[in-house]
Amino acid sequence: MPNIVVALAGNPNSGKTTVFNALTGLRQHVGNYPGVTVEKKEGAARRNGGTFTIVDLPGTYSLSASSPEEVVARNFLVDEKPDVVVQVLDASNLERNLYLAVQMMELGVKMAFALNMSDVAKARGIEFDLDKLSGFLKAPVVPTVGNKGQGTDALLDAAARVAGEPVGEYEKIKYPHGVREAIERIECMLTGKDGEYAARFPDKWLAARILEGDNEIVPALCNREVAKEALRLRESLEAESGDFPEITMAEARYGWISGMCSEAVRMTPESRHEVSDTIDRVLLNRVLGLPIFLILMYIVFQLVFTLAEPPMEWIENAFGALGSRAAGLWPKAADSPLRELLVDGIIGGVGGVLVFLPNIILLFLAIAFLEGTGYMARAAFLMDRLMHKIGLHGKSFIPMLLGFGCTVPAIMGTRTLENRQDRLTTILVLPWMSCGARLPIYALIIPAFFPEALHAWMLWLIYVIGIVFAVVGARLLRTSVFKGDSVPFVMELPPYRIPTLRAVITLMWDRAGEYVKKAGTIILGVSIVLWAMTAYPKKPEFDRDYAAAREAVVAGHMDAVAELGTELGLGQEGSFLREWEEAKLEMAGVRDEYWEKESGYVEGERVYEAKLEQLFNQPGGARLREFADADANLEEMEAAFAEETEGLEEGSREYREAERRREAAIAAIAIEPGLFAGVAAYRDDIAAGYGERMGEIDNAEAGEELAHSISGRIGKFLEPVVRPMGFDWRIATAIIGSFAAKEVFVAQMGIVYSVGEADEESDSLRDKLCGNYTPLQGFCMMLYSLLSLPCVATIAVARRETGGWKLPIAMIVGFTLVAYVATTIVYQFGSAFGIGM
Amino acid sequence: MIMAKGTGMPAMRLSRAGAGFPRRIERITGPEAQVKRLTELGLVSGAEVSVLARGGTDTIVLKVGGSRLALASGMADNVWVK
Repeated sequence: MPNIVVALAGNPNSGKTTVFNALTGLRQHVGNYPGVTVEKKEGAARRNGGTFTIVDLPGTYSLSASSPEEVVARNFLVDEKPDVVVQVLDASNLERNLYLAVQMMELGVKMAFALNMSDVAKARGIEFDLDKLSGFLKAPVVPTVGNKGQGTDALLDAAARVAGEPVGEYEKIKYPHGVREAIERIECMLTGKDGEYAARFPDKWLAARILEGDNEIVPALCNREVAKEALRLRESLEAESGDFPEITMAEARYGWISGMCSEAVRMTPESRHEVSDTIDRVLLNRVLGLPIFLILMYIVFQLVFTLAEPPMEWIENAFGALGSRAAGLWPKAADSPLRELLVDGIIGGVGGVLVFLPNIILLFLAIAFLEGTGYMARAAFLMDRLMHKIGLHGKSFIPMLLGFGCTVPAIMGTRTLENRQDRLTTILVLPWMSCGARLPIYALIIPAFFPEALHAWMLWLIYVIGIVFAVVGARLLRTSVFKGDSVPFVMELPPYRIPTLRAVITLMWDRAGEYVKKAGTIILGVSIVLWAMTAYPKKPEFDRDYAAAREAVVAGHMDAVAELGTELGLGQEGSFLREWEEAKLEMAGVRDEYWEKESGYVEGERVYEAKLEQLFNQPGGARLREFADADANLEEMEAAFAEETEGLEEGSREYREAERRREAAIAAIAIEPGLFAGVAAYRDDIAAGYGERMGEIDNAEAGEELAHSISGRIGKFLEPVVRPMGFDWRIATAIIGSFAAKEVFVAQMGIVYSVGEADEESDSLRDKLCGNYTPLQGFCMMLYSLLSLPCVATIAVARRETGGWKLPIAMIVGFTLVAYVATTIVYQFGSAFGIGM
Repeated sequence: MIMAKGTGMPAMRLSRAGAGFPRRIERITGPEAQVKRLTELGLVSGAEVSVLARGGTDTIVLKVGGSRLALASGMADNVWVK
């Protein structure tokens, strides 16, 4: 038996997707949100030794080509010529579902029907005479219950039977006389060479579509005479009946359908009050609707962020561990570019992206659940009034809300918008909904430049600026580039359901999977490139002799240690303490050079311990031992304290208690007060100062290296360009880096400002920023970060979702330009009036 | 004025119709694309509709056949019922 290609068609919300899943067992989107199945999906099924390829067509209400989905569906039926079309009919809403069936019958395709959710319909008091239905439709009608997998075998059998027979004669719809004449007239004018559609469709069908003014077919006609004649006929028919011919024809189809239904369907109209209506009375209530929606959204966001925190930490730790594992493959001192690539480029880059996965999974889980219940359609309805005012559609609201989390899933969420103009406008303004990755930038900059009382306000201001840009941008786009009627809001509200766990999980998983795929491909590639740009070329010779600088610091440090040793009477001129410190530094050197498992480490440790024993056991060494023990004790206590207070707020009860415990532990160290003061001085002044000075040298070296690298050079090259915004080459470099992912800005600033590992909590980086820039410049950095493109992933998704490079390129140019102009205006205006200087 | 067929009574805009009562659609006016869209969703002369809810002055939820539709008020203005 040959493979049978089955096209699965049906209205949105007809349960088509559940039937598809039941037939193929393939995981796929299930949802109540109209239009969720936009892509063409395929699956395979087996039955009695026969194989079936099942193609899931987009859910449509008709085949009249007024939306991209309808075009896709129609072209598939005509061009791919599936062996049989199975239409899924929602049994509770048969008449409207059959409208699509009639259009397919007119197209002359072989059909079978799945009367889906017949159990629900029966419960509502609707009874079907299947034989009569099937007789009218000239096609088998099989009752199914998609979500329970009932009826699929019979459906496949029916499909196989129909596929093996020749196309039957369907009932002809009786159009009014005038319409029939007009169609015949157009048909006579067709020559078979009337443009790309003519060859693919039968003349009669084509003529009818031309009379209907089909959006796809009429503009593609070569023979303008035909189009002109059709227009004339349309006008005369409209004048005659007062209706557009396509409406007259639609009414004729509905007329035939209702005739059939009155014979084959019996309704007992008793259970009129449905649960959904009762729920809607509350959730769509004029007064309560909006507050309920806002509260729900608040709960969702709260849940997403609190629940995501622990797994985010796990992922961070796991990638940290993976990084050190990978680094451990090389000798510690090895200067291997491959190791840097693997640890900093690949593992660091991917980890930085995957860390948002818990957020994304939870957010999508929540949205999949709300979609599954049918509430999402209501949310769009509730927001339509507001969104309409800014030229957008109610359905734009959910993606815009998602935009505060991450622009990437938000752009994917615009798929629910049917109108292309609405959709493109939404995608274009989405990046201004300040995404989560920008938050670290604000968190770094706001405390650096602004007094504490203003922190929350500044953050609020930045978000509001983003929203204002999005609103104004949408309005402008809608009245210029994307002019045209915004489709007035009309949307089917599916009945409320309790979504099945499987449906929610699959929907969530599909989307999260797309995010992971992106992390694995585009973002990985870009992070490698950006990493290479900041790491190469290596500087062969440095401007400053860092080795000498380090030696000088060590010498100064040793003098200070010796002085303390003298004061405390630890050996001749403090020699005990000096030798102890030397041994410690040597051990630190060993730690830097070798992994613990390497023989060099073991050897170094052995030498170190022997040295300590020798120092402690020499005459007068006991005092040194006391000193060393106290030092180690304090070290331990500090570590314990840091661990205990992690995440605690300073001044909170737990924090104060930990402080008290630490004080008590310190007081319990029973050594001579003079010696203890010495230990404290050693730790707080001498050792800390040494670490700081060495760190400065390391950072200066890294900074010089970065300035030499490709991004550093690009930054320097761009300096004249970014100057009007108040930026220097360092900021320019950070901006380049932030194109990989916005939050990279913070790390890049850390590198240029040579503060080593920077994060948004980094006080030393804040000091540097505060010392080098004015608050106005700080604000400009945030403004630019907000208004410019979020990241390369956004571009990649925009390309995929719009199917071309036009929009992504427009986005790159447009967002950069808007951000540049706006930031320049703010900076120039601010400096002219001395605001925030 | 749009008259209800056969009764000589003027038809009423759906946007003005009270909630709860089932009404019969007389005809649908307005821009072509809109009329077509509504027709495909089952709003066709002779179909029975009832208003389920109103979202402020702008939007309306109605029931036609077995489905609930949300309509902007501009659209409901163009649906004439009796």
